[in-house]
Order: sequence, then structure tokens, then C-alpha cells
Amino acid sequence: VEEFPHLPTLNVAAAISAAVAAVLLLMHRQELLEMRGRSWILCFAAMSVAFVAFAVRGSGPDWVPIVVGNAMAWLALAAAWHGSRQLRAAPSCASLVVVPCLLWIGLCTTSEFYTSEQVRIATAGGFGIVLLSGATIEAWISWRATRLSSLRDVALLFSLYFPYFLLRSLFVLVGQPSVALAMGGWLVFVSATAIPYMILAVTRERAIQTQRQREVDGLRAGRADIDRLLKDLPAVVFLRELLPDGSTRLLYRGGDAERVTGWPAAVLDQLDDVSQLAVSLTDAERTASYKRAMAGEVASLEYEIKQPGGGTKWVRAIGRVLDQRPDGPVLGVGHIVDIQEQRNAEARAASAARLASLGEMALGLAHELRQPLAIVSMAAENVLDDIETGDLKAAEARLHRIIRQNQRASDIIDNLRRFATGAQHAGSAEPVALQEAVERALLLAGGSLHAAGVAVEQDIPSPSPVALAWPGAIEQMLVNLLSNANDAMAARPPGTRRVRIIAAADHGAGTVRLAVSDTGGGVPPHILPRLFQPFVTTKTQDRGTGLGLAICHGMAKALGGGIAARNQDEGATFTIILPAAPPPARDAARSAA
Amino acid sequence: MLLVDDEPEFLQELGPYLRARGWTVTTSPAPPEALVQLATHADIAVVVTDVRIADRDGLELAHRILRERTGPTAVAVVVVTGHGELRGSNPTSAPMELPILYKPLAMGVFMATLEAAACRAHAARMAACGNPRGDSPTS
Repeated sequence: VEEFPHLPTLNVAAAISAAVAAVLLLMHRQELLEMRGRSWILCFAAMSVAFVAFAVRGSGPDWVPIVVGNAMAWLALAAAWHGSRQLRAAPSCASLVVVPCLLWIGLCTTSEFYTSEQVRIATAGGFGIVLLSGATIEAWISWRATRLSSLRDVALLFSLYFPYFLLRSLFVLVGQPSVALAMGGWLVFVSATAIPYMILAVTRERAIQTQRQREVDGLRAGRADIDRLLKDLPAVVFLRELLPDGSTRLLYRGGDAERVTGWPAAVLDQLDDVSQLAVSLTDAERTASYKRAMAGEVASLEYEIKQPGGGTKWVRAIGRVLDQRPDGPVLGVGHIVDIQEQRNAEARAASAARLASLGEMALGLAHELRQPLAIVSMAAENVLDDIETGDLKAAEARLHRIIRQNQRASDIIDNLRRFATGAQHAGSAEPVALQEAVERALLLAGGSLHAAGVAVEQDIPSPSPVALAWPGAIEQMLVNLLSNANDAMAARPPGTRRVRIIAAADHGAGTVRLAVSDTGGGVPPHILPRLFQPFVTTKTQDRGTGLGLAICHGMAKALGGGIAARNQDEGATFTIILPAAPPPARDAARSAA
Repeated sequence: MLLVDDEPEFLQELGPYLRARGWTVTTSPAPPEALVQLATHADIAVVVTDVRIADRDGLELAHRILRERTGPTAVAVVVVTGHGELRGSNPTSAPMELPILYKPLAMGVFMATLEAAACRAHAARMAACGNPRGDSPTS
């Protein structure tokens, strides 16, 4: 066959190369099996045999190169076609691979074909072009489908045959068939040696690609598993990237976000952060929480979010840093839960406790109100007398007294109203002088204490320490503590009932302290550890709800402080710690500067 | 009469009112002082006291006076209180001997109670003069 010039050494080298490639592929058959590329082994084995057969041309029987050589060449090309299709998992029938080979052998059995070289060369050209085109086209298509770069190189090498056919025809036309033959010989040699190793590269690349795909699939399956697990969790679980500029980016969100936020998934998918729905979240709060998280603490942030049907609901976001690298992104993980129910319950409990305290205070308040009323009515009687006697100066003094005492009564009622309305949790904290808060609390609780013969001592430095709290919050806590102290001392003999209120500022920590001590014998030690839990009480059912201290605790915590209890000397001491208000003097100094 | 109350403004109003109506009035801010006043002024026949005075018990003072001051030195006691809790409760003493009035005072009732108390003290003293072992509240 003239396509393959008679260069026995070249043919033997190509045969060895193809054989080695076939053996190597055989050693990698596991990978080939996985990519269903077994026919490539057949391809190179057949190629190897074909080159051996061509090598014996001229020095052996004629039929070896003509029949065996060409049949094996067609088998190799058909296997390459088939192998290329297999690389992209295209449907293909393995048994068809042998059809061109068998067809050639069949043709060779006819004597005209075998003896007429012209017919043979023409037929062989047809076989070669068809099979080569098929293999080339399939290799290109498979490269497009799999994006394996080594497969593209294989396709390129296959493609080189087409310009070769053109050039060959040209050289034959210009009467230089030997050049054409040499070109063909070299091309066949190069492709026969290069393509097998390229196919090896394809198998390696494909194996890596498959491995990667498996990892991706595994991740995807894992994530789908997580999604399935978290689907009904009443929390939004999130993974975020925290960037050095203080911003964050959502990487993953799971859990029943629709239930937690009240918004449909379509809206939530557009949101990077659920807190974008917040109505009451300041940048300062965001920054503080971000800083806490970056400091390695568990950051907790509570905020109200809008609801699709109007209104709002409270949620709590809790997050922490997963791992922190010196530079580059930091991963944060956390969850968001719906705390509206909890807020509602807290509000109900607070209001219940307030009402209970009001009930406990009612008797004392009656006394507090009767005192000024008694003075007012007496003074009014006397004014009538003064008018009768014409002592207008005395009448005037008494009228002033009436006004003063009226004011006293109305102050008590004001305080009561403020207490009954409850401290406004949603409002912002303001500076509250402890001295004034104590006075207001005593206006409310003083009556009961007075009625029970409790001596009230105060130890508040001047000027008074100033806390940062909601208006009314300190009063509510104090009234609670004073009322508790009063109840605790009910069983003590009169004359030994004392309450001591101590206020102090801790400048180092930026906090203020308000302590209420009684002489009621202290809290039973077994109750002390859970004293601030709801419904824990040392009182009988009709006296206490067990909510008062729990409310105080919640309130102090929400204000950024805390409350603690301990037994000492003759009774219990409750200490409220609150953040100190920034000194106004500093502001004044700054504005003066 | 002696007024015992820890609210000075109340004393400043009640004192002149009673004086204008013919009473001789002394005032005292606390039970111990009241007992001293009583001991030094034998002519005090009526004591008006609050129930709670500072951290001392006005009711206890009332009972002590009723117990100790009998016969020729008998003193009648009237209790005034700003507390609601005594209303409807059952004080240990008979109402006749220890009338309890509530602040703010209804002046008509208060004056009548004072008159009655003065009469009671007077009657007790007169009876004691005629019959030294007379019917004192503690006998």
C-alpha cells in the first residue's frame, strides 16, 4: 500500500512504540475501564501489529502487508473512532469496530481486488479517509464535551492528516510522489508514536477530572443532606465570610428561614443578610457585634425585622468565628432564631410581675396618699378659720402648704403610673442619677416599708453615680428588691428591720453599683443558685409570683449589666451592676475646647 | 391633749385647729417623747396617736397608755391612721375604749370622738375619786 512508504526501521520503531503504549494502557486499564476507553488498547495493539506487517513488505510474503497490515490499520482506526466516542460516553457499538477490518479481509479474498493494485489503493484511500475523518471528528466532539485538553491535542494530531492528503495530491500532481511518500511516512510515524501517549495523558486527565467531579458531587450531596436535615429546623443557619473592612458575605444559608423570618424564600434568596430586614438595628450595634465575633467571642444580636403583612417580629442572631487566618477572609458561622414568643412571654411575665408588685404596694401607697390628703384637709379647715379671724397671712401659708401637699400626692401617682406602664425596653438608655431613682422607688415602696416599721438607710455619694438605663427600669428593680426585703423581714422582730441602699461608681470598669441589703436572715442557700430563675420564690403563693427577680435579672442583663445576690451578716444583699453614663463634664470640656 | 405623729406638717395643721376649738394641745413626734410628755403633764386627758410613727408602733403606745394610765390619771386614746388595713379588722381593744379614725379625718366625727374620749377620761377620773378601786379598763 503506497500510503505507508516502505521504511522498515521506521515501521518497526512505530510498532514498538504502539506496543509499549498498548502495554502501558493495559496497566492503566482500571482508569480506562472507568472511562469506558478499553478500545484504545485494541487500537494500539492493532496499530503495533499493522506496523510490524508493513515492516516485512518486500522481504516476506505479499499478503502480510496487504491483508494483515491494512486490516489491522482499519481495526486501529475504527477502535480510535469508537474510543473517541466512548470518551464522551456517546452511544457506540463495540462489535462494529471489527466491521471495516472484516470487510477488508473479505475484499482481499476476491482475486480482482487482490491482483489490481489500482483498485486496492483506491479502496484503501476510501477506508482511510472515512475512518480517519470519523476518529478525528469524534475526538473533536469529545474534546468539546469533556474539555480535556490532552484530548484536544489528540484531535489536532488526527486533523494533521487532512492537510497531508491535500499536499500529497499536490506533490503527486507535480510529479514528486517520493516527497509525498516521505511526508506520509513521517506523519504516520509521528502520530503513531505520539497519539498512544496522548491517550495515556487523556486517561490521566480524565481520572483527575472524574475525581474532582466526585468531590464536587460529594460536596453537593453532603450539602443536600445538610439541607434536608436542616429543612425543618426552626432556625436560620448561616456561614458567612467576614471581610477586614467590616462587611460580610453569605456563603451558605440553611434551615427553615421562611418560618423564622416570616418571609417567602423568593425574598430571602435576594437577601445577603437577614438583618437587612431589621427595623431597629444601628450601625453601632452591628459593629459591636462584628468586633465581638472577631475577638473570638460568641456574638449575640437581637433585632426586630419587618413582616410581609406589616408589623415586626424579634429575632436573635448568634455567631462566632470558625477559623481565623492572619490575613484573608475569616469564616463565621451562626444561627438566627425567632424570639417573638419569648419576647411576648417576657412582656407578659413583666406585666404580671408589675401587677403583682402593684398589689403588694397598694397598701403602702394608700398610706402614702392619705398622709398628704390628711394634711390638705386639715389645712383647708384651718384656712376657713383663718379667714374667719382675718389672719390672711396664716391662710396664705396654709394654701401654699395645700399646694405643696397636693404636689406630693400627684408625684406619687405619677410614679405609680410610670411603674405600671413598665420600663420601655425598646427605648434607648438614658443617663439616670441613682439618687433620683432611689428617691422615686422609695416614693412607691417607702409606704409599705414604713408601714412594716422598716428603717431605710441610704449611702449614696454626692454627686450621685449616674447609670445608663431605660427610664423607670432602675425604679422597677429597686421596688422589687425593696418589696422582697420587706417581705423577708416580716418575721423579724420590729426594731431590727433595716434596709440599706448603697450606690457606688466603679470608674475602672465603667459601671455603677446599687446594692440593697436587708436584715431578713438571708436567702436559703439551696435557693440561692437559682434565685433569678422564673417562678423561684421563697414566699407563699399569695405573696409572690416568683417573677420579680427573674424580671430584674433580665432587665439588668438587657441593659448590659447584671444582678447578683449573696447572704451576709443578718440578711441578703442584692447588687445591681449597670453601665455608667459617660460623664457629661467631658462633653462640656470638649465643647468648651 | 397630746398629739403624736411623725408628720410635722400634719401636727402643724391639727394643733392650731384644735386650739381654735378650745383644746389645750401639745405635740410629740414619737412614742418615747409622748410618754415623757404624759408623765410631766398630768392634765393631758386625751392622746391622739398615729398607728405607725417612724419605726415605732403607735398602737403599742396606745395599749400601754390604756394599761398604765387608769383611775385618777386615766387617759383616753384615739388612734388615727393612714393605713387601710385596720379597717374591718378586729382590734384587740373594744372600739369604745380605742376608737380608730382614718386619715384624712372627717372633722365632725373626729371632734365628736375627741369629746367622747375626753368625757370618758373625765368620767374615769371622777369615778376613781369617788371610788379608788373603780372600774378601770384593766380591772
